[in-house]
Amino acid sequence: MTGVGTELPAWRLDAVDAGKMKVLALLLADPNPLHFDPAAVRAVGLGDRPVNQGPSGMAMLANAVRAAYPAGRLLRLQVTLRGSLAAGDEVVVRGVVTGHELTDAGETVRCELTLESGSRAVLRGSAEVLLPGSR
Amino acid sequence: MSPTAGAAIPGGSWTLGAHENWLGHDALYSEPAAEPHPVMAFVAAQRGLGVGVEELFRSWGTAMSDGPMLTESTLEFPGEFRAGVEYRVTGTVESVVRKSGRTLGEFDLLTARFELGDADGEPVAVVRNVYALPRTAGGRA
Repeated sequence: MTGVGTELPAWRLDAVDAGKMKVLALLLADPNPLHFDPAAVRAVGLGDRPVNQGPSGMAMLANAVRAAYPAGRLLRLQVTLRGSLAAGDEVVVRGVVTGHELTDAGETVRCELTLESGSRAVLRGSAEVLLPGSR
Repeated sequence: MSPTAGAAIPGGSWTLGAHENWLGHDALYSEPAAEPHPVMAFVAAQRGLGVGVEELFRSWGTAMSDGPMLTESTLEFPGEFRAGVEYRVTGTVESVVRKSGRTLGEFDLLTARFELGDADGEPVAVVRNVYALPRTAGGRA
């Protein structure tokens, strides 16, 4: 699955989980209540569902790449955050191979990635993966 | 006080514990494994930078209530990031660019680079984050 233009299998999530946001808030030591307190979300007029952390969306892009290349080694992940996800949102991550090359380290594959929720493109990014057995 | 390019971030060290590794996978929609989820390098940078997030933003002239936002992040892995290993975290402000927009009003785009180094000082992971820091009242994340 290294040909330029090859689509990666879509990575899907039925609903962003508010409970996982709480654990991630602790791991990140992030005091922002928008990630765990619906009252704080309501107070700033952003609805009534906790707002997913940016690194969680980044992880979803990484998960799509890791699922496509389970034995590969992620060398680089770049993500641009264009919007936010809230608890309960459905997610799909799509990817396409944009390049591959042989380097001193082995064969690497580059992918462009998009995270969508409904009709919204929430994150865009790219990844570079070193394939196994190519050293 | 506005931050300037080249300013150091306090820095420190951090070790990803086994329980945090498991919880990180689970929180990031990933099957727990001995190898950490790559985004835990972001967590390591944030936990090991020597000050809390709130204090970091305050040092850059932004309160959490101002709505600072992460707009871009890049993770690079020149080495193998592992659980149970203490990493030295160093950080630097790479650039600060003043912008203005409809949602945030006037804001700074600040790029910060964090490096996780092993016991030999070799970089294992590099995290480069771009934050939007509102500079006018009424800007909101």
